[in-house]
Amino acid sequence: MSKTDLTDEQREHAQEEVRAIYAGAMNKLSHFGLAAMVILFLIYISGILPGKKAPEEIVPLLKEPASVFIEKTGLKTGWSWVYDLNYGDTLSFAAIAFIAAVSIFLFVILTPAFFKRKLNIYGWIAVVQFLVFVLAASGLVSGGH
Amino acid sequence: MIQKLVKTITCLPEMMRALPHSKPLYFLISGGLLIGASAIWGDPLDSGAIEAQTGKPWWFTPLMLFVFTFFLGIVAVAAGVGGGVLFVPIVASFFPIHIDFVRGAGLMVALAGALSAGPELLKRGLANLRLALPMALAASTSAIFGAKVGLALPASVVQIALGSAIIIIVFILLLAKKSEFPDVKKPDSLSELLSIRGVYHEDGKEHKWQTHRTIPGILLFIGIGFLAGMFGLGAGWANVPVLNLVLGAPLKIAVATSVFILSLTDTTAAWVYLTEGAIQPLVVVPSMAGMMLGTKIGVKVLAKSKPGMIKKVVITFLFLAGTRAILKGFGI
Repeated sequence: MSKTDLTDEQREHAQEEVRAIYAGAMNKLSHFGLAAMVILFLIYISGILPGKKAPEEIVPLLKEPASVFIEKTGLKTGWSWVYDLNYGDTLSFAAIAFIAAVSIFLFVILTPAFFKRKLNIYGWIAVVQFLVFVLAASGLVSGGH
Repeated sequence: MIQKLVKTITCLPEMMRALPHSKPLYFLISGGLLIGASAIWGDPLDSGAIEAQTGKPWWFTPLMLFVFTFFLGIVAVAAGVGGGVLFVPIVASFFPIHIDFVRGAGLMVALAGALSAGPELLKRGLANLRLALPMALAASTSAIFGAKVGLALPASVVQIALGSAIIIIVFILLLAKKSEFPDVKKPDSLSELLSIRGVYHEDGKEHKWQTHRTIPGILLFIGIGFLAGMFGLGAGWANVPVLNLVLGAPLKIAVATSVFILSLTDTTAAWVYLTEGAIQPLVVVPSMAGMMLGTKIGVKVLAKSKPGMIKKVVITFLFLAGTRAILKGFGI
């Protein structure tokens, strides 16, 4: 935020505008995600669109660590699920991923909104936050089980 | 409904003082949770409880998860405690689900709650972007590493660490003081540079606020984010005291901004769990649906109950769940 460019009042007004944009988009995206999650889950468990793995195969393995679960079910980690969107369980998973991605989408909107209103420091913080989201979602951070 | 939820969150301090006493409700909820947990899996402290589920149809676990989280949602709102912090230790103690999936679901439960409440808190000017963004950046970055460490450690170590963290949280909930309007005489230079200050209106009055101790605040948020990622806990229990008591934000601004920070911290941690295969729809969806429905009912229950009593039940449960997690970790 360039303090030389904006008065306190202008800065407050600019932040209110950005906040309103963010809140509106957050409301729409989160409602859409939650509705999609419930509908797609019902489609999966009702058998309308069968899953890659049936629920009766999944549930007994939930007491295993995630790594063992993945090994026993033959499911894959990372982003490989995007190739299986014709299965009910993967679609249900995709809806959960959408909810987890809502804040990432919001930062795509938020970042230019900050720069446009000369709130530059916050614009840069938003850029770094977006990169942190991308790093987390990429699955590139090594480690795990 | 979301407006009511937001109002409830921001008005909890007043409500806790003002609402009438309701002993029957206290017993109903505490008894319901205890009986429910026992009825589902037998004695939750019985090491054979997991095996006891054998022979039950596949839908039994998701259905019971839905019912259980529904009650947890009621209790969470009424006690003014975040759903995530209740979900992880209690579900990990009572359900035959590995702690990896419980933590993944806990993050999604907390995230869904934050995304639902966030828009209204932002519109009302209570959640402050300038206060939230620097803190959220610190917390969400460390949450990635917390999640990675949590998933890399053996389950027994995670159980012991989780149990210990929960016992500490119990003491924080019992002992942490709150300040409606902390006295911040002079903002520090970083707070000044970032223009972390604001005005909010309540009861026809204008409240101006500013913050200080930005660097200690950021360092504390690094720790909070790590713990949130490692244990899959929503971190409102820690966010609020740091924003309120360390940085000096007014209580309502702190509570609302905490929800916004949580939405960013849990996003990064949740993605680590997603890409590691620790998020499964059969655990996450019933939990999120149950918790959100329960939260909505909880808002109504709150109007007829004494939250202080419910908070005691919740703290007792957390203490038991924390102890149970430690015992589980030691294989007892």
